[in-house]
Amino acid sequence: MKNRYGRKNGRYVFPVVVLVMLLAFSFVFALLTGAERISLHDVFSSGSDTDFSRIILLNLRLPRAVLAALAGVLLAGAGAAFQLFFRNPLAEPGIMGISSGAALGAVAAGVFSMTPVLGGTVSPVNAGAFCGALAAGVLVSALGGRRSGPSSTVALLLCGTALGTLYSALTSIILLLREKELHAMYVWMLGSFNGRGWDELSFIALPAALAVILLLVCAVPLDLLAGGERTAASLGVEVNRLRVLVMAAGALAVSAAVCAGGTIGFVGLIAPHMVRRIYGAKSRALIPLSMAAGAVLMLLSDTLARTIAAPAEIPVGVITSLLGAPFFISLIFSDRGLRNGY
Amino acid sequence: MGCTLMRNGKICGRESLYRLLTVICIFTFFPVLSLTAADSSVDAKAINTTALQAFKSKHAERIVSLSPAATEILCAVGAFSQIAARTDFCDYPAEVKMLSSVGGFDGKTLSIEKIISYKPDLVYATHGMHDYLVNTLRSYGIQVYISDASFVKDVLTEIADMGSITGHEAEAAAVRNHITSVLDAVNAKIQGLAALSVYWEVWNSPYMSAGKDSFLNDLVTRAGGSNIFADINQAYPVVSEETIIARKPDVILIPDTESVTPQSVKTRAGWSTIPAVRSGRIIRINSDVTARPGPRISDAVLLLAKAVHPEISFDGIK
Repeated sequence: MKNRYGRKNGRYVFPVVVLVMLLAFSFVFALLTGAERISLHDVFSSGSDTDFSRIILLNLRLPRAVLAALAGVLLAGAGAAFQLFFRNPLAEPGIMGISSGAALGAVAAGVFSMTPVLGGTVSPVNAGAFCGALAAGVLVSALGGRRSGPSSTVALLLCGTALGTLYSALTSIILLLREKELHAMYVWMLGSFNGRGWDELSFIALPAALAVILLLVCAVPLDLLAGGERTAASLGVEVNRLRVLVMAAGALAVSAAVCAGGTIGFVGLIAPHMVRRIYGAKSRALIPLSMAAGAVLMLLSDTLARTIAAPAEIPVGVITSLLGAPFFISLIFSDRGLRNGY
Repeated sequence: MGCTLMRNGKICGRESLYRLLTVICIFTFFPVLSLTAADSSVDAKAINTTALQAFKSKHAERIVSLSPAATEILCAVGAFSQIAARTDFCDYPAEVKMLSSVGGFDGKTLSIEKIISYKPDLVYATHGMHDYLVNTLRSYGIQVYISDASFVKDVLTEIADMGSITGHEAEAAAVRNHITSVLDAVNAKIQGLAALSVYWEVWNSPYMSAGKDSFLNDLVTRAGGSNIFADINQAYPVVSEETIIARKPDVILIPDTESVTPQSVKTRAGWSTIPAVRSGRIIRINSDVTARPGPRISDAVLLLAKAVHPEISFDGIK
């Protein structure tokens, strides 16, 4: 059966099945591997809440795996939406200045020792990152929204980049003035799910859910926008409203993701491109497929980050960039990538 | 990808494989190379030997101290009047606040002009963060001494060096004797006691602790504790939360900041099985005393010994 774009609906069945299987595999893999050995037998048979294996699995690995998967979903979903909206292959959460805003919020909260949020359960640094990202998203939307017409998306993109640079400069100033925290904050900025658990998860659950729903809602109008703003407008898409929607979804998604894992680079950029190159997917499927791919990437990277130097850990952002960049470049030059229009 | 052998009559498989390998090599080795290159620019030992030679007959009279620990060492050996300037972070002993400051601590926030404006004959720097100032200062004929203390014994050497550079050998020897006697007295008290396992939390998001090559590891060992992350080579590694729980520390040391409290450590999910959490031995440590490789290391060891072994009295030691 063909839909009105002349594409077969059945086209995505196979990739979706493969991705879901990969996702399930990486999730289970993340639960079963770690710095310490745990016994699955103890987890299910003891029933005691003080059993070591049970604590490790249920209190540490499970929330961390969920957080990593969720951060992957959010960053990749936001990346895909930004790329579609700006029709720019370089668009990603970082380019809108939202990640830099998150870093600024985190550093400000960490350095000026703000009072812990939610009775001290969520680290002020992570809560500060959430607020910083959200504020950056609102500010860039407000500034970019002052222009209307075809140039407005370009204005938004440029504003985002400029603001991002501004936030980075402010972050550097704070860090240089308060050098004691320099190393710790530097490590935070590299991105890590270490030290995050159920508290962070419950803190971001609502914004994350809202972001995922909004991103999926954006998928259809973004698909129409692929034909150009004029064409989309003639098909009934209100570009200005869509911009608000995309920005709100993106800002919420990135805020939740940085609260979960710090500023993790590259996943938001490469997950949508991977999906596009491997599946040749267009926008309606691009957002959900990118979300799944982002989750797989993040879960595998975090598992590697936790285990490769155990009992020490490596920042997950280092892994996503170190492995992601060469894979990404090889994909661009691969036959498959060439066939899919690059 | 890369598995299609023929496209447009051209063999592509091997070519794209090479391309992939080249790309992987570049991305893997570039960061590794830049990491190793950053470390080897300054030879601290040779520079310090030169400084010691230079001040053999004529002692240093105008010293710019670039770290709180350096300032503490200079004051301890009685060279307060020979300090020309300090940093904003130098706050101990209290009289150093009367001295003028050259600014921050990190080399990148310090102005070479400002340092030179004090016409120093010696700049007392720290290995790593001040490396890039060293060659410039020396090219102006200013001697540099580079502090590189990873262990307590390095601090003792440094105190002796400063004694000879400033002409206060006797005072330096007294300071060294005091430190050694306190360390020996603590050591005598903890003799025969089982070493308690200690988790030193440097930071909590992510969890960072002290590894084998850290000053903190040496302090804990001398205070009769055994650092649970002494098997990690890095000085301040990010550590696995699973391993913290698995290694069951008897004592948890946390920094005395507002963001972490003994109460917040107790409520962390999954930490209730840790002996230190059950017995409530989560102790805040003044990081100024423990983080500075200066003359107060004996105070730090004593402070830690009291934390690790509350059952014995260290009253006689001062």
